[in-house]
Amino acid sequence: MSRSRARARRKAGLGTPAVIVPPALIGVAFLLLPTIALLVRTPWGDLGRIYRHQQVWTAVRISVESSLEATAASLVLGVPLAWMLARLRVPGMGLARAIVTIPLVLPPVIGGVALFSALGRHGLLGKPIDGLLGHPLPFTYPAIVVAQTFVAMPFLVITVEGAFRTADRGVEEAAATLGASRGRIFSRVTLPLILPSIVAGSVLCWARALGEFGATLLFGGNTPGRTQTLPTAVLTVFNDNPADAPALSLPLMMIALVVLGVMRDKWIRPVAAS
Amino acid sequence: MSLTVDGTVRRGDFELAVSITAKPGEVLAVLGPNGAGKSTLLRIVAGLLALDEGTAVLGPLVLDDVKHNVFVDPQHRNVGVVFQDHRLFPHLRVLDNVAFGPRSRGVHKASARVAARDWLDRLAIGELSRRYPRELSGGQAQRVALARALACDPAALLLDEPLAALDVQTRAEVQGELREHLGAFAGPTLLVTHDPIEALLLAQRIVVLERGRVVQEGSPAEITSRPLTPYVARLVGMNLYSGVSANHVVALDGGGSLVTADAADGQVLVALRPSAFTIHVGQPPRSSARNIWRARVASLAPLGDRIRITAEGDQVATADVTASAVAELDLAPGREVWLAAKATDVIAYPGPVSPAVGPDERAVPQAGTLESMPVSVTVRYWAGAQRAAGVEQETVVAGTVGELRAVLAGRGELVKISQVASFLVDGQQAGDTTALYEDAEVDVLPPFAGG
Repeated sequence: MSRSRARARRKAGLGTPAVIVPPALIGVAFLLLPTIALLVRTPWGDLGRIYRHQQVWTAVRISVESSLEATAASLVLGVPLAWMLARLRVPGMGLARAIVTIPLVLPPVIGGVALFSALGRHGLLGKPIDGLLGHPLPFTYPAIVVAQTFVAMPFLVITVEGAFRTADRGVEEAAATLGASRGRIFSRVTLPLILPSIVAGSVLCWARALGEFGATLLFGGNTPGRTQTLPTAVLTVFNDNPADAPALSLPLMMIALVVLGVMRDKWIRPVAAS
Repeated sequence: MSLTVDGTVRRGDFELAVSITAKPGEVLAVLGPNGAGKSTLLRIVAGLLALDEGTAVLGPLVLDDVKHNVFVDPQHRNVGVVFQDHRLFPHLRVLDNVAFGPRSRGVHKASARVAARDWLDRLAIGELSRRYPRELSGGQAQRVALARALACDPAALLLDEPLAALDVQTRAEVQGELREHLGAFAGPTLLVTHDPIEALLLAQRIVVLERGRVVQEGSPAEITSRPLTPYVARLVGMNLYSGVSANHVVALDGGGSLVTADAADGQVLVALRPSAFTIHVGQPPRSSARNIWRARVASLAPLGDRIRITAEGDQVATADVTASAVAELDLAPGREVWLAAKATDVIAYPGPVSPAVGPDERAVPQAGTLESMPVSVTVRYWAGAQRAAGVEQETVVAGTVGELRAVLAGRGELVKISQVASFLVDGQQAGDTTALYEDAEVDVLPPFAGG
């Protein structure tokens, strides 16, 4: 039955044209092969030895902590920013939106250089920051968080901004006629309405922060135990002992897979209009 | 506590300039075509739109006064709004939707919920309290929206096309309930609608809005018997002409004349029910009727148990006759006929200062008056203690819209009307009339359905 229906569909000219099949297959292979190679080349016998190494777990801890802190900072700064971008009707808002997306297209390494120019010892804000912290910002743990936030926050902002833009203003008006203050409308109506988008944006933001390499390396350094994250640790290991590098890649890959699996059904999909 | 808006709002080319007042306990319908400014007026009262000139006042509270730079935010107006698309909070259960208003006004969570439950019970939808809005039917959502608006104990109630999004069956049910609850509401109610039946059934007074201006204001009876514009005439189904009256003879703009028993002189409007015309063939009839027009039949169309004839002479007229008369007189398009009407059936009254009737608009055929429109509706109700026992009574109203109104008015215990079988409307007439009732989501019977 289904076979004949498939044939009927082909006959009706609605099947897949033959010409697009080979590139599609090559595309799949191209995307899948490196991941498989990574698993194949992982020194499974040596995993114990590699993971017992204290440096690995410290890097994992710093990676997880710094990326979560960067996500939190992105939420605190990014959600209000997204609201302003979506709702404020003033000239120049288009420009502001473009500026926000700069870190999205900027190579992260350049982002690191830019952070230096702004927040480094001789940067635009170097002196006040020195005075505030008592030491220069670069090559410290906070510098890692700053670098990750810089690179990852735009992912949250553009996701949430779109949600604010398309959120049902009518429901907010209804809340106003019921006596809700602006703050109450924001916290009790608008935010819950766009919660799925905030979660989706946060996951994107966190994943980007966790994998952040270029800006982190340049602005935060790669000091084992202090500023070395898992991605930058991979660089060190790849330099010293290339055969062990796939083993270090495994935790990041596992985290990525788990996040995809858990979040996909629940949050990362278009919110059905109610 | 009455509600008054006297002001102007401009949006690009559109200007709304109105002066209206709704008295305490009164349901004032704002009736008009799409784009007339009905919803704009409602948004002004709700505080979602500021006046450019003038004032809006609710009882002792000045809501908006441009000259004195007063504008009260919607939060502080204490005006309940039921939106057309209900606008319930999708992430809150029904109970918390209704409790939202009291909560926003600082009522403690537990007491707000008690109040919300009380309103849900009063509107007989207590069993929905744990549902989310997406789990409600259109009619249920509209009831919840009404409960949510009433739970704030508003000083005034605003309803924006409350029935427009509902299907025919649900409309009739909700309409009956709405009538009951609006009757119990002590403040002024503004009902925005483009459906004349909704306005006639629910309102004590009607304001007709066209292109941002009030073109007519009055009781349903006044509106239906003396339409002032072609739009209103079309709504209520009257022949409407304009002309100059002297000594009981009205010289119509565009040719022809009508003799009237009314004494108004000068620039007048003349309204004539389609059922007031009699049709004759052959020689000019010898009759007591003072008005005899020569005309040619343009079209015939069924209208309930009658036939609607559109005839063209000096003026275009619609006349209702029985099917047997059509057969006997052999009426068909192109047939030469005489239209006769008694002077006492020709209602003449002063028109607007500038003649509102344009030549093109005059040609639109009209149905019988809305009050006399045939209707067949099943009304279900509980009387007294039967309500608690859940015993329903049922009565079928097969008559006219006017009779239905009378029946509804007499049912204090009315709970729901169901099965709007049909408001019989000519399915073949000129686009305007049919489109009007398509808008209103009233069943339009195909020609000769049911013999």
